[in-house]
Amino acid sequence: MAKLTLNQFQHLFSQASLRPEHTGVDPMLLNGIMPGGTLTSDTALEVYRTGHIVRLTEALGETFEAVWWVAGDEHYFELAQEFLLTHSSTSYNLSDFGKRFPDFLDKRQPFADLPFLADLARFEWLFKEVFHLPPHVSLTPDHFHQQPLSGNLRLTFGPSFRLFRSPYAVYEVWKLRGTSQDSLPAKNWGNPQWLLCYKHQQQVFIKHLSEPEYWLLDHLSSGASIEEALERTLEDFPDITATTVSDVFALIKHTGIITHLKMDFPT
Amino acid sequence: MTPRLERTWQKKAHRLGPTDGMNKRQPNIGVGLRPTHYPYLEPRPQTSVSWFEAVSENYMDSKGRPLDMLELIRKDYPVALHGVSLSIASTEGLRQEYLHNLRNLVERIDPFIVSDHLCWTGLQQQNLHDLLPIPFTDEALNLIVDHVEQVQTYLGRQILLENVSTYLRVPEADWAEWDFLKEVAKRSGCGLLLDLNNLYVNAKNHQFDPSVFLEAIPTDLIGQIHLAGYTDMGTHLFDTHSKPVYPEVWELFSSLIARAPELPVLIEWDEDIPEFPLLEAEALKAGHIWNYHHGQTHTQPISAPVFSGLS
Repeated sequence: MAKLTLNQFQHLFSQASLRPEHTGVDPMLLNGIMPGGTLTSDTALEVYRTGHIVRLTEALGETFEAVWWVAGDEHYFELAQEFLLTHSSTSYNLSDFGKRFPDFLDKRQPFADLPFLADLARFEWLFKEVFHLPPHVSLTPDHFHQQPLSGNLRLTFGPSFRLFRSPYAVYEVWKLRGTSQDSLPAKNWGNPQWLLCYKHQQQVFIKHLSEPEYWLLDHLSSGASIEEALERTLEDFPDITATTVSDVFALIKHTGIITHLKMDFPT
Repeated sequence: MTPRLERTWQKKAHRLGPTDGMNKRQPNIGVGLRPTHYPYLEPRPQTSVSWFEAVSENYMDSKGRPLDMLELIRKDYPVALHGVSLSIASTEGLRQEYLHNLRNLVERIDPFIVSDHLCWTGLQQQNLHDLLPIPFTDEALNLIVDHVEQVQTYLGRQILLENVSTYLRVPEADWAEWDFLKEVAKRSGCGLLLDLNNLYVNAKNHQFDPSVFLEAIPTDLIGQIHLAGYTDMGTHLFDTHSKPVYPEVWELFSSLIARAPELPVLIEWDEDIPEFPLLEAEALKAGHIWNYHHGQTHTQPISAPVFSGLS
C-alpha cells in the first residue's frame, strides 16, 4: 500500500477522531498506523476519539456550568456529545467552543420541563464574554457633575456593557449552580427578567432592571440621544415614572458603564 | 536561519537565553501557573519555585482576571509561555490570527521562553484541540522546518518545541523520533523542550530504550525540561499530568541534569491539581536531584526566589 501523504494522514485521522461511536475507520489509516502498547489500531484511534469528546465536553462544561448542573450529568453528557459531533470547533482556542450551544438547545429543546435552558446558556456565554473583556476607562460621577445630562446628549457605553432579557428567571437559576439539584425551585423560574451585565475594575456585576429601565438603556446604547430614548420608551411605557428615569440615570452615573458623552448641536 | 533573523536574535540575546535572569548555578525549577492556584498566589507569598510557565492560550484572548494574575506573577518571577495550539505540523498552514495574538502576549509579558509542541492539533475547520502524532517523514520535516522559520521570524525570537506522548505511530517513517526532533532543531534553529514524561511514555508505548532517545539529543539543543506524571491504562501509558513524577522519569531527569545543569525544569500538573505547597514539594525533589549532581554534598531545599522585582 502506498505511503500516506501528511495531508491524507491528517484528514483521515481527523475523520476517525470525529466519527460517531461504533462506526468504521478508513482502512488506509488503519493499515498505515502502528498502535502503541497492547492497543490495536482501532483502540489506539479510539484513545484519540474519546479524548476529543472528553476535552470538548469539559470545555463546554466550564462555560455552561449551570446548564450542566440543571441537566444533570447523564443528560448533559448526551447533549454535549450530540452538540460536538454536529458542531466542529473552528477556533484555535478551546474556550471559544460553544458559541452555538444556546441555539442548539433552542432547536433541540431537550427537556419540556426546562424551557429556560437555552436562555440560561445564552446568559452563561454572555457572562464568559464579559469576564474576558478588557477594563475600559469610564466616566466618573464627577464628569456628570461637570456635564449635566441634557436631552441632546448621546452616551457611549463601554465594551463590557450588556443587556439581557428572558421570559425566565435564568439569573436566579444560574446563582444556584453548584448547589444541590433539589435547590432548583420547581416552576419558580417562570418570571421574566431584564438584566444589566457590566464589568467594573475586573469584577462582573449583574443588576436587575425593570422592563422600562431595560428599554431606556437599550435605546440609549443603540445611539439615541437622551431625549429620543425617553420618547421611545414613553411610547411603549406611558406610565413610566420620573423615579424610574431618575434611577436609570443614577445607575448610568455610578456604575462606570459610560465612556464618552457627545452633545448634539442644533443645525 | 536567515542572516536577518540571526542578527535580530543577537540583538535580543539578553532575552533569548533560557535561563536569562536566573542564577546560573542554582536549580531553575518552575511550576505551571494554573487558575486553581490564583487565590494562593494573589497575595504574593514567598514560594520555593524560581519561575512559572503559563499556557499561552489562557491569556492571549483574555483581558480579564487571568491576564491580571499573569502580570502580577510576572512582577516577581520570570515567566515562560507554553502554547498548545500552534499546530506547527498542520498541512493547512499557520493561523495568522493565532500568531498575531501570541506576539501581542509575548510583547506584553516578555517571557524568557516561548514554546509549543511538535504536533498538529486538528484541521482548521475541525479543530481536535489535541497534541496529535505526526509521521516522522521527510515531508513532515520540511513542512515543520518551514513553519518554525515563519514563526520565529514573525515573533523575532527563538521558540522551543516539545516532544509529545503518542498512542500510535506511523511505521513508514524516514526518521526515529529523536533524530527527527534533532533535525527539526538543527535545520530551523528552534530549541527543544524535552518532556521526559512524554519520552518515557513513548518508550514504553512504542518499545524503545528511553536512554537511546535521551543520549541522542545534544544538550545544546535543549532549552527546557518538562516533568510530569502519566497514568498506566493497562494497555498503554497515558499522558495525564495528573500524578507525581514516576521514579523512572526521575532517573531520566537525573541522567540529563547531570550533563546539563543550567536547563530550566518545569513540574507540570494539569489534572487533579494538588495544593500549591504540594506542587512546590514536587519541585523540591527536582532541586534535590540537581543538588546531588551540582550542589553541596548535603542536599538542601531550594532557596527562596531571588527574582523579586526582576521586571
